Amino acid sequence: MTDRPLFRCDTLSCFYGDKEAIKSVTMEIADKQVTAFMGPSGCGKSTVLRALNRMHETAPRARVEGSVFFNGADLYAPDVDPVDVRADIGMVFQKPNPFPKSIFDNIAFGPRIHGLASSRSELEGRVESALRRVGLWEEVCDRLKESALGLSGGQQQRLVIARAISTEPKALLLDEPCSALDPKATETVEALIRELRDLFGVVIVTHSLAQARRIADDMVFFYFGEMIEQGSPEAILENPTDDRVRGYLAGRTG
Amino acid sequence: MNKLARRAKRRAFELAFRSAGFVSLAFAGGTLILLVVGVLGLGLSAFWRYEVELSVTLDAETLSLADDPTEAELLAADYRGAIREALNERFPEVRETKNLRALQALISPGAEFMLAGRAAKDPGLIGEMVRVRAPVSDDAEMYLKGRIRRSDPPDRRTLTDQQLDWVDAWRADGDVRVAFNGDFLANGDSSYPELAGVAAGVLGSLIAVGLAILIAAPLGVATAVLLEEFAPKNRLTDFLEVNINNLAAVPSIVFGLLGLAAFVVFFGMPRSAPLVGGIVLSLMTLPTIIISSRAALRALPQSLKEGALALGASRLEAVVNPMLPAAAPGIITGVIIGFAQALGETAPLLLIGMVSFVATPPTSVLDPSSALPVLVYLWAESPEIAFVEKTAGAVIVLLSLLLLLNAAAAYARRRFDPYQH
Repeated sequence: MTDRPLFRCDTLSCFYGDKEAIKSVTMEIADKQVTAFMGPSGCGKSTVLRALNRMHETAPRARVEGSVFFNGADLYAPDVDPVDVRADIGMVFQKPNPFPKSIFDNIAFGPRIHGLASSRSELEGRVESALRRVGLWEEVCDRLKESALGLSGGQQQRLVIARAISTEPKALLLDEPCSALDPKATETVEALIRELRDLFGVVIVTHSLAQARRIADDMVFFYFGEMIEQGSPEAILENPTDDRVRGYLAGRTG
Repeated sequence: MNKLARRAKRRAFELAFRSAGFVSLAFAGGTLILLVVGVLGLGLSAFWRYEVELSVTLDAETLSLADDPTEAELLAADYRGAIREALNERFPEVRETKNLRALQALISPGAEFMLAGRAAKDPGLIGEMVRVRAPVSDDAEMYLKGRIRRSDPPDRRTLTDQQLDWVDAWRADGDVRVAFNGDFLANGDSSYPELAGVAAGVLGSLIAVGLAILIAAPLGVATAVLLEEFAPKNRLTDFLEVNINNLAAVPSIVFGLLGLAAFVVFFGMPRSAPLVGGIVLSLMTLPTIIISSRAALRALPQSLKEGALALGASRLEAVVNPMLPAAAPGIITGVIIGFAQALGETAPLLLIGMVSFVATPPTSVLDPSSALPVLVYLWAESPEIAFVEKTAGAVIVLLSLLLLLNAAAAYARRRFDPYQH
């Protein structure tokens, strides 16, 4: 990789209690690209993803060893507040999780807690630009005061992405963002992800080979807690070097 | 064949189960209807009373008033004598003092208070003849309401035949009026049943219970948040949790004893005060609110908290903003259940002395006060037959308050549920 990497994991291990879910992963993730994490269920893709913005430690008895450097700075240094990390690195989950509030208040949540808008009009501007960014503005601009729970699944997921980017993060983590969506909504969200790549680095966990092929620039393959292969989707999908990847792609495991 | 027999057996079991459910439902409904009909039948009559029209001459001499009386003198004048004169005029054949007394016993002292009030407001009435609707005494009222009958054996009833004749004479002349008994809602307790009211009890209850909720709701919700979201899972918090759950099952009289020992004796707070009652009731309500608030927080989807944390909210910010409002319906339900529990509680209030006779409704949290359920208890103990309907009447007021609270709770649950859009 030519540029300085966005993330660099150095012998990163993640634990749930005594169970080592991720075993000493070392890798680099480039900025302004879509990186896909793939692998069989339970292989630790989501765990690594959650370690990248220090969400992993919110689970009971979870802890992390090793380090994650974000733009060169160690996220797990003792003086780093996880709250600041999460403000810089947005995250979207598998199931759309809008707050049971109005559409406006959902988007305004981040700017409000981080004090990013000094006036009401500035806040409204931020909400509008975030909604425009995800292509939701035209659909919801006349019902910003209505509950976000009234939106369709695809709209909710785009709303949640808008909520994540309203704080102007420097990276976005997506944990199987399309697995609860129908094909049409998936297409819209995928198009959005391709656009967002111009703004910041995107890391996406996905189960779908087709989706990875459509949107990923880089691909990391995990297998039972270990990172076993990294490369371009074409390279991995057409010509995997590792037997375990080949087995997975052939449908023999996972 | 075997399969068919099995199916028949399963059907029969299901039918038996459903019938049992129906029977228990019918039993519960029947009991409720019995309760409501019983209480209403006994107590509704407490909300009206009988009055007799009298023409009373406010003669200065009869009232033993000097010229230019002050307001205090006007209030303290001998209206009893004036009423006796009026009764004597109405029944001239009654001569003996003993009989006159028996006649006057049919009129409530409330009539004297009415006259005193009117004269004090308008001293020009002295020397004039005024018409008053004098409330009848409790025994006369019981006769008019049919609770004392002429057919009862004379030695078993509190009115003589002669007294019954006088009441009948009034009724025959059309002097008896039925009126809404506003005094029942506006007055404090009284040793005259016809003048006794629930105001002191209602106010005392509302102050004490309001205070209890003011203390217990914020404390309970804060404790629930602390235990559910912040406290580490260890021996100490397990121990705390077990104890909080047990606290909810502690008999309420124990809390009363605690209140007596700790607040009244040790801290020297006044007895009978709604302040102490409120604190004791808050201790009782606290476990209810903690348990239901924890359950409400635990029932929230994990994704709600994760969503807030992933946006860079601190743990407290995540709790305060998306989580507490989303848990509001459950928390409100817990608070209202606690409120209703506290409103119906008698035992702890007895121990801290909120059981005394209180004629004037309290005006501050330190004034001696009664409570509605305590009033029910006191009146139920009273020997006068007229207190039977008063007791049931107070129960009606208590149940109405509870019904109102439950309606408010149902409304609040719907109003504050962010998942209903």
